[in-house]
Amino acid sequence: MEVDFYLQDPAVPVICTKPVVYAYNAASNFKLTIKPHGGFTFTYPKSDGDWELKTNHDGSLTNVKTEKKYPYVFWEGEGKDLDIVVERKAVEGFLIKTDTCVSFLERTLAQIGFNAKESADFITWWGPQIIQKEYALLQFLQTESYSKTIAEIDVDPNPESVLRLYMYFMPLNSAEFDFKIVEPQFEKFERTGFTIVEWGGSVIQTSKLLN
Amino acid sequence: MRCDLFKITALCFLVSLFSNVVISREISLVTGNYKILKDSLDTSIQEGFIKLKGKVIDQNSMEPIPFVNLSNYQKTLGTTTDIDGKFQLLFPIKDSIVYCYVVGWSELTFNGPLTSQHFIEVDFYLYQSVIYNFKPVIYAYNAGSSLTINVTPNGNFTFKYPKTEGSWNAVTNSDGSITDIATNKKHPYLFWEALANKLEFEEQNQEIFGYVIKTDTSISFLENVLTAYGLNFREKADFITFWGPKIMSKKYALLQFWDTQSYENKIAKLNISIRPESLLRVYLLFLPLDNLDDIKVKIKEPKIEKFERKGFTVVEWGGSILTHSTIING
Repeated sequence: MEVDFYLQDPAVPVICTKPVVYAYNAASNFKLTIKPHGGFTFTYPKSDGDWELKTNHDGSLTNVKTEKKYPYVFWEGEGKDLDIVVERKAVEGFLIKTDTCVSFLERTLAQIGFNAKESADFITWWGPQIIQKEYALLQFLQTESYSKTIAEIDVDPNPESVLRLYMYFMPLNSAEFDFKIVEPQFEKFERTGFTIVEWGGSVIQTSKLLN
Repeated sequence: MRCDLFKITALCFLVSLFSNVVISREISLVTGNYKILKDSLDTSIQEGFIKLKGKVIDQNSMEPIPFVNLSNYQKTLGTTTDIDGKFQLLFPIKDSIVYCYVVGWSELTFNGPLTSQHFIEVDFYLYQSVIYNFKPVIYAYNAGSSLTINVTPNGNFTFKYPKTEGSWNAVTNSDGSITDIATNKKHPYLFWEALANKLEFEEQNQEIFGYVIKTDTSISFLENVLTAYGLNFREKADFITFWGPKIMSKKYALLQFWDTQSYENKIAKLNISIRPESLLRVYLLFLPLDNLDDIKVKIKEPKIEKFERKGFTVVEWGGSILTHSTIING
């Protein structure tokens, strides 16, 4: 007899893991404010949620206060009641066999408009977690729902281009699924001028979809 | 139905034991299997009791495992396997779950079918707990020509990026990135993960070189240590944002950094077609702790030799989380 053990404590909050924020081509110093709906558990460079920054030509950021360079601003927080979004009995997302996840993510992230570094950071973070089980359901939240569900972001002065991408990922043992899965259409993100890109995600272990 | 019930009891049970487990991959418990060989009525057994006889076996080598603990759910009665992995346990049927555990191995819960006055013979199969080599990333700078980079970890690869069956063929770019020749794509680093063989802190005469930290200081601690090693801002940020949140999972952490030599011997061999002028490999071994009373050895701060970057430079870092160690009581 083989059994599944479920280690996720229902009381343990879902973590919003690894949101990283990249910024490029700001004409002047700018202020970045992040307000996660469940509060912070980690920030780097350390902060209460405000960063005074400037962008560098090599794609990195300088923390104006300390004059130290960083490749990105990183934060983690606690998610509040995060779950796959279902609309009219359908899930907008992808059900993948996880041995294809690298090429799937490369293709999808390129379609969305990630650059090489952002894409590699995303894939090396999520890839090893996704392949733990044979299948995975992936759903992407873009800028607006990211703000509504995960964290609000405020950048002053306003950036010309903003891309925020959040991934819900549900590990699955089989591809049998009661819900219809509809592939989303992505509008390719164009970078002009001062640009902000952010990505993060959560592993969804307990979901209304699984009952 | 029975299956569901089993899942629920197992869930409650494990949750009570491992309430801190958030991401299961980090403190990975692969659960074992069991096989019932015989199940028969034996009226010599007291009513309301079960007699369980069996053997605990390594799922991979099929060798018996001695000194495995077996107990009822409440841990009020129990036994240990002998040198041949064998045990016998008489327990009240109301306890209904037998728990099988030993440090370094998967856990197993057995709950029947249990009928009063039955004599059950079983084989329990356990796996060795899994330790990952997490996130080794390799950065390369200023190579004069194209490179072949080959990593040979002691355990099996679980992930490589960019994808390759064997070595990476790459060129370094002036912006610090690496181009993968096979796909002609730019990458910030080469990434790999593997399953680790047993890892343990390096100890000598009851002393280890390392650090015990209160984890709310982990960011400044890591910034200081990594700066002392000579990591640049990008390497530091990648390291800190990967390890920081994991280190902070408990109140304290015991950390040991392995340098190029131990990395090569214990984690993975690194072969590069052109010899780098400067090579730094740093591997973090860390054990999350709730309190410091259980540490049996003296912790001494290591001296760090600062790494100088000259010409063709390769930097690699990675690490593993230990869930137990011989230097800790219990």
